[in-house]
Amino acid sequence: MAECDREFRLSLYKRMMLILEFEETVKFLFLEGTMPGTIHQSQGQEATAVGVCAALQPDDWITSTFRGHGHALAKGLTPRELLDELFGAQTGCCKGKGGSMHVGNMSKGMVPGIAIVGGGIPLAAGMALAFQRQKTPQVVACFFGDGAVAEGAFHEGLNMAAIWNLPVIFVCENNLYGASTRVDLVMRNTKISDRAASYGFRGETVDGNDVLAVHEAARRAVEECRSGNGPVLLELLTYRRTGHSRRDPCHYQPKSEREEWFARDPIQRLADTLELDDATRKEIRQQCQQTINEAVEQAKHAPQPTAADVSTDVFAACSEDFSPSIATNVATTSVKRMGIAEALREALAEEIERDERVFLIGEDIGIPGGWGGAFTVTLGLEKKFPDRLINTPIAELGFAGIAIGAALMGLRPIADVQYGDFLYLASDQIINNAAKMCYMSGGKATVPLVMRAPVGATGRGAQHAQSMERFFAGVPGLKVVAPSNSYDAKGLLRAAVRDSNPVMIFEHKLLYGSKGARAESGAVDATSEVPEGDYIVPLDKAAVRREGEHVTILGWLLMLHFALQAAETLAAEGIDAEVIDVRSLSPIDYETIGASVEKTGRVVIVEEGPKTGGVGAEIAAGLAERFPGVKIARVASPDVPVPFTPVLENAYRPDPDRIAAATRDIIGKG
Amino acid sequence: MELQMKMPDLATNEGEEILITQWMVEVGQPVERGQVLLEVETDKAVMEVECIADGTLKSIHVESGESVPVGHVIATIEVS
Ligand SMILES: Cc1ncc(C[n+]2csc(CCOP(=O)(O)OP(=O)(O)O)c2C)c(N)n1
Repeated sequence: MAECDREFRLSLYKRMMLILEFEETVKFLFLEGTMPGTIHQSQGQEATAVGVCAALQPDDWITSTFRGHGHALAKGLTPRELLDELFGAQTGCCKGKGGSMHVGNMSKGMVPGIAIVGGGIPLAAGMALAFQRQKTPQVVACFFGDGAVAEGAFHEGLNMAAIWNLPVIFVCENNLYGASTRVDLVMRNTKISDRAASYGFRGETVDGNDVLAVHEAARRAVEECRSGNGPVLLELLTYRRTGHSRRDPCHYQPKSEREEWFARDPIQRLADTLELDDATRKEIRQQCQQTINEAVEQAKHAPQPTAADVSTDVFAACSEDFSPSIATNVATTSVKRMGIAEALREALAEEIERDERVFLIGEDIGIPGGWGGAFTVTLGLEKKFPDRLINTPIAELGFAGIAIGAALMGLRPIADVQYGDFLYLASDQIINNAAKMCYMSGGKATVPLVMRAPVGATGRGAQHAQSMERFFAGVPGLKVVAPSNSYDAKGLLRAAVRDSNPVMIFEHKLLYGSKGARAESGAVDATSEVPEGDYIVPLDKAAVRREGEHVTILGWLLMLHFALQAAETLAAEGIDAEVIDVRSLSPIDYETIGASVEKTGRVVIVEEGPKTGGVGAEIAAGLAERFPGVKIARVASPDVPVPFTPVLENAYRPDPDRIAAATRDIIGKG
Repeated sequence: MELQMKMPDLATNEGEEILITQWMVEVGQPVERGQVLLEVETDKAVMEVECIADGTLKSIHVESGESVPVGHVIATIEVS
């Protein structure tokens, strides 16, 4: 054995020992009650983390899971920053906001651990997509357990990584159990590496307790990925020597099985291969112990965050190109009248041209001869920007995760779903990853994602019709907007692309002004004058659309148009209504709305979608708290799924008559 | 150096006392970290408690058959 080779192997041994000592120390700190929270540990699995990470360069990346201590130490995070995090200290790698399940460090190539089983897989593919698009030689190693293989995220992530040859190594640590459930209870073919063939790439099963074998397999996989021949699936057979989480006595692991695997302990085996004598083993172990003990002592006294820190790091500061000097009210000298679909298309084209980090991703968005997305918004863009539109499989969770992963690595993806209803499939990625990444990382990770979604009841029955904004408006970490005219659509989309945070844009199908085969019956004219040149509409401002003295009517999307119609009817009766386009659903602009309700003393909140649990309910509560004297009424859909037949759909969707009636009522002229 | 070993937090219900059913090592015997030191019974299961350091079991503070809350000192280890 060459001397450098021996030294390298010794370094693997030391790193594995460091992980073991770290985990054992942490285990007892938890059991003693010294440390808050819960833990998922990796004793027995040291070789997988160390073998894989030793094959990576410092600027390569990993994604991890709830069981991430070993991965973190293997990727070069220090015991100190991890212990500080586990103790909840401000000096922890995530400022105490992540904790054991979310350790990571964006400057050391590790995103915060994803504790949703399988959730890191599409994310890693997206990170790899970013490297591929940026033409950097970086790769991602994506760690997950055998349990993740049954998740849809596994299928969607691997499939997309395969069709685009992404430089990602999927590392399945098969430790035979997902929590207490043995693999053979949840899969018929327990050879996980076989899965790769069904996606058309290479998979390999490796002895995961042999660090040298793991390293060699990972080295080959990295090489393949760097030369454009990714992805690769590595199945590393290993065993968890400790409980799934704290207090788990592992009674489901048969004693004989445990003993068999203990005899194959990865640290022991490498020591034997290296023929380390007892004294050397002991010395290395003591060195590791000392490092850990010192870090524990420091962590115990590390500064804790204060209560005021609870609301910092929810959003990233906006980026350099989000200049407030960009006119928000340009002169209307050179203007063009257009519909929302066209305005969005213009904004997309201009943002693509302005910023090379921008790309579009979604289903059917740029197929020559296709429709330009479900509502023609991207029609023709593929001709102008063939390499900036990514057509995906029908896999909403997967491509949402991919967009988020790419955003984490600095790109500016604009994703869209064909119908808002499909956001339920993508919501794990949007809510658990995009919205929380900044906070969980202590403000280090940013997700400049735009997600567009058409909503509204339009003769398609219950599953292509829902008003989805309610489900996202209450999610901390997301910004939510809903444009009701073309000027806003363009300005809000531009602002969203330039914002460093995830922004959801809800668009109404009846307002697009889509033409030809994609025209909607019952469409409402939402065209407006759109000026030439760069302008944005701020993401946090409502707009007064009609001034009035007697009552305030709030609406957004289609309901804003119906509210304006109702206001005209009421005007003829001598009722002077002020109509406000709420537009920004998170955050809600209580300043603009508040000024109006203080003036009128009465507010009617109009919403398409069930009354219970809607955005209107939130606005009603928010106004009641801030302006206790104001009378509040709501007009919304009944608490039913969206029906198909026009008679019932019309009964579902609030209309100008109902809005007018409720307004007369609140004024006492009903 | 002496290390006070506390009853680990193994109960599934907050505030539950944990019963020591059996000490597996006699006072004065050498112990290793990770070695099973005692057996306990919680509201859910019988579990083993591992020693937290290498050394000698210097004294036992709670006899088998007694219950103690989490965090109560149960043994002193003379660390080697
Ligand atoms: C989507 C999801 N479902 C369930 C859980 C609860 N849970 C946490 S870990 C785990 C077992 C995971 O097993 P595996 O993926 O094999 O990883 P390992 O624990 O073996 O590292 C479960 C069921 C979760 N965190 N996320």
